[in-house]
Amino acid sequence: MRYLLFILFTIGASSVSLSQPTDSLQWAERKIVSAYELFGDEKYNSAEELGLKILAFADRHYEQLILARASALLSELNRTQGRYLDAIEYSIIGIENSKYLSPEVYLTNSLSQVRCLDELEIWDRNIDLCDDLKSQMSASASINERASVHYYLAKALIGINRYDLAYKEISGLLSRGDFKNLDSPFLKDNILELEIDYLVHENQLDLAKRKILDLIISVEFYNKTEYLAHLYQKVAGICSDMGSFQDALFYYNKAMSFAPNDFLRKSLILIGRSQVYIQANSLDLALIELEKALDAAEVLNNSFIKSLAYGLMARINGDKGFLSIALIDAQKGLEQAKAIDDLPLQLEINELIRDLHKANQSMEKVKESQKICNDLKSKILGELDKKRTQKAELILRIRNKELTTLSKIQSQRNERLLLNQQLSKAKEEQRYIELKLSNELIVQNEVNAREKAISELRLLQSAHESDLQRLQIIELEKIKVKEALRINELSNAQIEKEKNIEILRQSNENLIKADQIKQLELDQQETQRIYGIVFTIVLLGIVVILIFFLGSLRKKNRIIRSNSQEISHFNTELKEKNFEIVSGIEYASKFQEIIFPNESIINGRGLEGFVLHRALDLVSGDLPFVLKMDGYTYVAAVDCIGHGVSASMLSIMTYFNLNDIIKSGESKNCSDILQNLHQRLINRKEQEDFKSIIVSVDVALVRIPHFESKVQFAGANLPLIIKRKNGVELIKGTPISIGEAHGRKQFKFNHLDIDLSVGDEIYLFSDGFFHQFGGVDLKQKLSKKRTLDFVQKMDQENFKNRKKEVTDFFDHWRANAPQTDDMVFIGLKYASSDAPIVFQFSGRIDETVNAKMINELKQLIQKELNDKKSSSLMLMASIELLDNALRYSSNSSVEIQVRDLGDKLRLVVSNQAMEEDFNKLNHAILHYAQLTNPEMEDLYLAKLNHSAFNNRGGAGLGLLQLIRKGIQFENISSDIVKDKLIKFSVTVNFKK
Amino acid sequence: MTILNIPATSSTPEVDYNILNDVQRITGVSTPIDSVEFYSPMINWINQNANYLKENCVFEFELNYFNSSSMKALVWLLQQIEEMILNGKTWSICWVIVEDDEFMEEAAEAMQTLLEIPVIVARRA
Repeated sequence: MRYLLFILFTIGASSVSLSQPTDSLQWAERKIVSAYELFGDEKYNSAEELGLKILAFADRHYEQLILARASALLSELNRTQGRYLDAIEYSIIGIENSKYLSPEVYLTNSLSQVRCLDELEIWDRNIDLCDDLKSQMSASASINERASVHYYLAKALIGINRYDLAYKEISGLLSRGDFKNLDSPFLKDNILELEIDYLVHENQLDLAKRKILDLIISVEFYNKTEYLAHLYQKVAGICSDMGSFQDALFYYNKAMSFAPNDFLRKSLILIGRSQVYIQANSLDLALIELEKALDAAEVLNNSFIKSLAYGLMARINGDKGFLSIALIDAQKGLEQAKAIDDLPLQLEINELIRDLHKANQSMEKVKESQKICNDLKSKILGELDKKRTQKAELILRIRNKELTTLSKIQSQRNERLLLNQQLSKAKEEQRYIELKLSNELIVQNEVNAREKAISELRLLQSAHESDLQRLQIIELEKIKVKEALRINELSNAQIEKEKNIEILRQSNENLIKADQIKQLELDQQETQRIYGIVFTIVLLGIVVILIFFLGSLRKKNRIIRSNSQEISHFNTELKEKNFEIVSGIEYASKFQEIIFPNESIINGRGLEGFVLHRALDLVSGDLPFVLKMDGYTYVAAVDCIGHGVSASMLSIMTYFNLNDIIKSGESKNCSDILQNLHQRLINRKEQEDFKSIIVSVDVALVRIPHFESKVQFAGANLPLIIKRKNGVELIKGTPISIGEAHGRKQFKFNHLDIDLSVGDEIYLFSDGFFHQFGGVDLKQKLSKKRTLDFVQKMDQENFKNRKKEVTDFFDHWRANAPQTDDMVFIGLKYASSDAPIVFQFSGRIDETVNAKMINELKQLIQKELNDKKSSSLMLMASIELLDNALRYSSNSSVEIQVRDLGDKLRLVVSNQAMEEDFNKLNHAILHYAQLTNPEMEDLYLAKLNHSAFNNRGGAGLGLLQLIRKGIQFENISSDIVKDKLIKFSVTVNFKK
Repeated sequence: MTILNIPATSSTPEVDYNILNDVQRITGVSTPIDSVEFYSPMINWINQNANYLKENCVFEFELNYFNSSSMKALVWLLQQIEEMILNGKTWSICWVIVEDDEFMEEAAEAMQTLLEIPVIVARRA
């Protein structure tokens, strides 16, 4: 109880430094304080009960510091009640829970354990523990704490007989300037006593005596009688060792005076005094003192004192020579020693008995005693061993306790950690959900904004359309005025021409009437024939007008007849005119030849072909059309209504319109092209002045992508024949002509996509071919059926000879019959599917290979592409497509191929990917395609600026970048490799 | 670490950062798989050495071509530099375009749109 004050002080100091914010913590704090109060009042049970409650609370809430403080309390409680092992267990809990949190609480717990170990005399462990504490002690630690540690360390060191080390600890402490501030008298006195013990041990008795007397002076101040008695007893012992018997006796008397009612101390003092007398050789006085001691021991019934006293009495009597009395005393002492089972004492007395027998010269008894002595010695050794084992067991138990406590704490900590992890995981999940929700909100907002933008755009569009219509009307009116002007001019010229013709006619008629020159008549006949051709071609109406004028010409005959010279002059003029007109038409036919494409254009880009074209007159209404454009070859057989000049005019018109429509790229399919052509021809015709003109054009149009095995066909009243290895097929077009008035019925041209194989042939022709009369009686039409039969019978292998074959067939059928109409016949052969490969790679790809590929592609692009924009597009597409393949390829292998399509390069990148990724790609393409340009720009910048990098390390920008730069995916094809795995290839073309 | 010198590879540019330099350069092509990994050291370096860099230090980017993931990482890097400039550093950013590369021009425009501070565009033949 003496050091309770100190403990309270330590705990108080530590509790002040701790303050937790929550109410429950404050509760625990208050409870700890009240528990210590109970402890102070020695209400151990209530204090322990409360302590356990606090401990349970702290354990539940994992309040480590509260736990440690409660442990310190419980440890002290148990120690005070002698349950050292329990105390140690609590102190371990306390130490572990306060290690890194509070040095004060840690020290409290540690010291509690140190004291227990001290009580249990487990020195080794205590030395370790104190050493640890000493090294961990901060410079600011109070002298009280420091002193405790040093004191127990020194005590433990003495316990293992290392007085020298112990003295170092103590002297270090004593030399400190603040030692005098040590306010625990108990500790201070004990430390000083340790020093004295050391001095005694070192035989520095003078110094020891002085020190102990100093100590007595300071202790007298507190009036601690018991302790003073102890000190005086001690100083008396020292004096006795020094040989100053008077002083010894004096101090023993002093001690006695401070212990008037303490019989134990009294008897011990008496024994001490008797020993002084023995040393001073006053044996009688010694015996008297011993008698007194025996009396005191009798009161206490203390066998140890009795045994000690009897032993001394026996020794004195033996010395005096009263051997038998001595033996009796010795026997009495032996009995008492046996009663308390004190082996060393028994040994000592037996040795005395042996010596007495020796003096008595009874050798047998000596032997007997000696034997007993030996037995006792071995017994004592055994006892020592037993004690040592017990101590070792104790240490083991403590260590086990420590281990189990530690593992318990560790598992608690792990649980805690797990709990924390789960908690943070849950928090993360919550955050993710919140994020998802907010994302959805953002997406919703975006959708709303987009809808708004679209509706605004629609409004703008409709406004724009009405503007456009207005503009168109104005434009049309302008054209109308211009046309009217031109028609005026034309009709003026016509009237002039008519006048001329009239004059010529007049003279001609006169010549007939006069019958003057037959030669002239012949000439005239020929001229008439040429005129017939010319005029039927140019204007049939002129003839009617001529006939109409004949009558009136006759009236003028008489006037002309009078001037034959004039007539011959006109005749010459007529000849000249005739020549002019015919040569003009011949010249026009040359123009047609120049304008209409040469058959050699068909060849190349996977195709071979020929054109058979025959005009009925010099100029033709039928035309072959060939155009290679944007990766496609367009071929058409066109038949304009009628023949001769008018049809040829229409054919020129049709040619340029068709050319224009395809080159503008506004029509996606062949049917659209025909529809567009129809619209263009109709638009002009529908104007008031041209209502009477018939515009009707039949077309068979095909479009073949370069080097690809497919063809698209659209026909306006014309069919298509495909010749394959295993047969022929005639495919009918839409049964309406372009430009025809179709009434109110809505119509649409259809198109058909047909797959081809290498070697397949395609035939397009006008009705001039299958309407040709001929055969056996020259009155049969060739017909589509015969055409089909003929195509079927053609030699599959020999396409080079095909043109001659067709020509021969046609001429053979016609024989002597005149050609029925203009005729065009076009043959095509899909010759090759392979465009030359200019770059190829197939294999595994990593970052380095990827970089190498890009570099090689860059060189290719620089070499092959002239178009700057196209070059940078292809470089970017190569980088992004390869990057994508690298990131998403399931087996990190990729195929890259670049083909030269003549006017463009085709890049194909293929790789295997998870179906899921492929679907995402498709979805993204669809999504981006719906965005307007500004939307796309906004999204691009937003992605650059805000969005995170995705889990594949990409930024999700590649595809968007491609689409916003206007890349058209020519083809995205996919094959299922196996479940959830897809091989897909992306094809993009780049203009050279 | 006052010097950050990363030699060019086939997929990453050369980095020449040195606090003694007037110009901190990144030169070459940039098509790494993980552009965050590649550009993070530069951001760290700038953060660590912000106070030791020369007063009129120029951050120069001269790239022949790059993937979109690098573009994003570059925006990130430039935004870090921007933040320091906005907080008082007197550095500048220079975007070098070799030849008249349309895509580099566009990238420069995009950077300019995303940054508050001016980006100097230099054209080299």
